[in-house]
Amino acid sequence: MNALSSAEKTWALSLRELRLLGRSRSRLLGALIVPVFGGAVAGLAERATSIPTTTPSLFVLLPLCAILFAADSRVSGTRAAAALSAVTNRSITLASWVVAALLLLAVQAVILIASAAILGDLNVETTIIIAAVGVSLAAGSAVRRLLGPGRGAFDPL
Amino acid sequence: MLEPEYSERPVMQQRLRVENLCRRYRDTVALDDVTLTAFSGEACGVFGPSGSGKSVLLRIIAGIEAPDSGVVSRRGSGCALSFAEPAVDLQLTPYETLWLHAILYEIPRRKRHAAVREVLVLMDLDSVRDIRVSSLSSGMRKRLELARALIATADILLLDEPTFGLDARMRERLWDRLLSLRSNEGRTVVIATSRPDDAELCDRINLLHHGRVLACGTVAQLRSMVGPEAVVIKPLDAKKAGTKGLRRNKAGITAFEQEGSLVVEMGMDSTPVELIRQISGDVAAVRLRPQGLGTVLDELAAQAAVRKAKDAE
Repeated sequence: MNALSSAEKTWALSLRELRLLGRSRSRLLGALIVPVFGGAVAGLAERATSIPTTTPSLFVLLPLCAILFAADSRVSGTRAAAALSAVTNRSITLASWVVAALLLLAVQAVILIASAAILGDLNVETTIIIAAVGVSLAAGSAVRRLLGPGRGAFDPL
Repeated sequence: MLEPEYSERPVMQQRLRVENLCRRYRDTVALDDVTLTAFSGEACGVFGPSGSGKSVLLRIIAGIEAPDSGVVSRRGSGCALSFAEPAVDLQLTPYETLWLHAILYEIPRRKRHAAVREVLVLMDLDSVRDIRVSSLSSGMRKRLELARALIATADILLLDEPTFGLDARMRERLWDRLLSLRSNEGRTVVIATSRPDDAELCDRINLLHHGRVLACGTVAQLRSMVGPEAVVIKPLDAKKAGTKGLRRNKAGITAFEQEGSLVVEMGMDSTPVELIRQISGDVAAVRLRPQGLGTVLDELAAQAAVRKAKDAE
């Protein structure tokens, strides 16, 4: 298996995850509503108390979203996921989740910050956002690794 | 137990070897010291009733599940698995599902569309290719499940109850394809089934019962292990053949006339010679009707149970 085919497989599996998310109305709404409301609450709290609450909310809400995305039984706990794991190796499965989660978290971070900025006064640095996304990816991939289908070992004949 | 003609095959032709595989779920033994071999260009059957451990065996061979002990050795470009119950994403369409698997099986980009189209047509799914799987009937989902494995270029195909839920025409079409993959492309097809008519189409069959392989061989070899099921006797004069006499003389024997022949169904401890001796009148022909695989499995399971009980004593 060359690097090109690995990359293609990773991207194809990432698209599967995002497609499944996009085609389930409840999951899509959940993925968007959490950062909108989270941002709104953080922004309003920051305006009312002058305490910077948007930064902590990034470190709470984004990891929460990532963990929910990783633990979603409609994606990873299905027989379809088990069938996919028979075809591809575990590192590709995990990498594809990271790619899909990265795209999703980037959108969620933008929504959260926009929501907080509209309703409050905030000034979040880019490094803070990157750190929050990084922490979320780490937490989510740990959950995904834990819940993903197991693999047997083979000897070559 | 491997029959001589296969055990003498060179090791190079082996594509899959499972040795001393054990798998337990709490108090339930799913697989108990299972050993089997599959060769290139062979349709290898795993026949047994539901709950005998067939699906677990395939899942372990595919690598989805790890065994408690034992070794799985494979040669070639991986394996493709089709589950007994469809394992496809309900929110995707058949085309998207197969396209994804075409990528995972490393089918070159320029050949991908043709490969997807081919299996869609083969499994009669072309007309619903862009409809979400959640809207398809259970029969269509089963066909998609099979298509998912058939698009694979893998050397080993693992199919769990492949014809369950298929109509006769689709079953025939599937078997044509499987036998063609075996003969023309040298692929190894491992079929787990509880249907004797499917098992009989395999080159070799492993009889699985309560997680143990009771016997392995060709259909003819397995049938010969328990003797014939019935003796069909063609008497010169059917009216004088004396079926009533047979019923009286031998307990456990039933006899009836069928299209001018006398069909005698016999117990395991009877022999055709004993039966023929009891028939009055001249006999034109005697034909042995072979056992069905289900009966062979039941008989071997009973023999194994007796052996186990004796060992326990």
